[in-house]
Amino acid sequence: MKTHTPDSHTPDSACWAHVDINSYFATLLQQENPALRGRPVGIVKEAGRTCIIAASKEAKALGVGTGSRLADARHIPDLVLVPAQFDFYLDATKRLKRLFESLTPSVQIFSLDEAFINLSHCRRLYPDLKEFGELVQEKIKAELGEWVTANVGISWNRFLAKMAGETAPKGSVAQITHSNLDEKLSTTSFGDVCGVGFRLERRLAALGVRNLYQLHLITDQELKHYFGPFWSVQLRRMSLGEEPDLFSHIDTNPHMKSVGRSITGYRLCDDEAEIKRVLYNLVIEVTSKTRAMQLAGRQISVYLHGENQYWFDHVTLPSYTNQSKEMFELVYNHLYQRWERSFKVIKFGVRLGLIKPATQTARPLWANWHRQQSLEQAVDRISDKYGLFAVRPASLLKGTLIRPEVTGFLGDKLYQFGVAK
Amino acid sequence: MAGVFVQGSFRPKKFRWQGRVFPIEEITLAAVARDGGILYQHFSVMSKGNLYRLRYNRDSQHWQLAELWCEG
Repeated sequence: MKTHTPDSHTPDSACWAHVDINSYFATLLQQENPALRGRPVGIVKEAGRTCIIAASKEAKALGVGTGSRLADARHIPDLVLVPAQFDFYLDATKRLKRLFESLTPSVQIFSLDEAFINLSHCRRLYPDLKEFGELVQEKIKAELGEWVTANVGISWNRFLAKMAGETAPKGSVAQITHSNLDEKLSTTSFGDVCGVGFRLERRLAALGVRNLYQLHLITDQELKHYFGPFWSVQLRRMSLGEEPDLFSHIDTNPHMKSVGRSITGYRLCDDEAEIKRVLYNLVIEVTSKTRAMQLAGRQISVYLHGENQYWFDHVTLPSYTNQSKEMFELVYNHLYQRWERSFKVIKFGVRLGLIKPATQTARPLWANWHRQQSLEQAVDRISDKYGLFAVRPASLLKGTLIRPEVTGFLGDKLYQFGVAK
Repeated sequence: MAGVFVQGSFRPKKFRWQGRVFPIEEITLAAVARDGGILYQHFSVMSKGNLYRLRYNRDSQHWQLAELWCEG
């Protein structure tokens, strides 16, 4: 078991700041609309949806949070429901990225509302870390508006910096140092520990472990016995205030590992034409995005969910593809036809995996493939100018188009910050 | 729409809609969004106590009143 080193927040030691905008989706809309400020606000994806995807701090104080159903929030008569504005959120994140990069060259966007700022090599510019945190908060207000607040957590690695911010009062700057590390590890619940999900938390609770510090009482062998070779190592690292593996993957992937798109409908659907149309719509978005990033994949997946049932299938091809027509034929004429139609569908998903740069893949020799590729690239050029679906298949002319949207965890940030600038 | 340029950025000052002029008291949010090659600039503005979402299409150079906040 390792021992702690002396407090070493010297100008040349590792130092990270974690910035987390408070209740991002709701806060930005409250900044936009003064009539919403100070009121409980619930954000839904679109008008008519019944799942609250984000809530203002006022709503959270009343028990409404991400994932709450409308029916669960009926006890708050003055809850205001507002549709999300993903364009605003993505633009604000891009502006925050530029703002952080003006402070230090090393910035990692973790999600739509979180970023890690590496101060390790510019500590002499910011000798007082609390002042740096306050500077960041002021600049965020100046950039996005007075109503927008953020938590700033600071420590010598990203794991602890995030924990510092998660456990601090809203709108504050907090630090984890070597002198308060044990206190933080012993008082932070697993809900505020990045990397520990609710299933792992339940398994830990079954052993009587409620915080990371208590893991010091469990030997490495016992950890391995209860949690396996992977999680035993991760938990041990976290108990010592070290970064678990998931942080080492931030911003290190040269390209996306897979490109997927899913959509939850408004109602259960068993209409074949409608299911086909939705799947085609999703495939077009996935493949156009893949082509825009100059990638190609060879594992095609589809999943359907409804009536508490779930169906999933996939096929792995011998060669790579990024063509909409080819992917849709496999999704619909090959995979979908295997499904037994045992339930009505409310959620649809498609994914293209095992991805690599298209320049590293062998191109088929047959002329049909090249003709189709030229056609789809021509459509891409039109889409680049006039928007996706400016040219679309006849089957998508009727019905509502499912358009691209950004997600809160920003799983496609390589696309959003790279290609789709 | 009438406005001024401040440090290279456009700031709307007033707009005319349905024959009436609305002076802009505050720009509460500004954002840029792209649909393919078309750039849209969004301005959320307060005028006479009401919130208006204005959208400018940089390609067609056309202003649109996208939404008006109504509660109820």
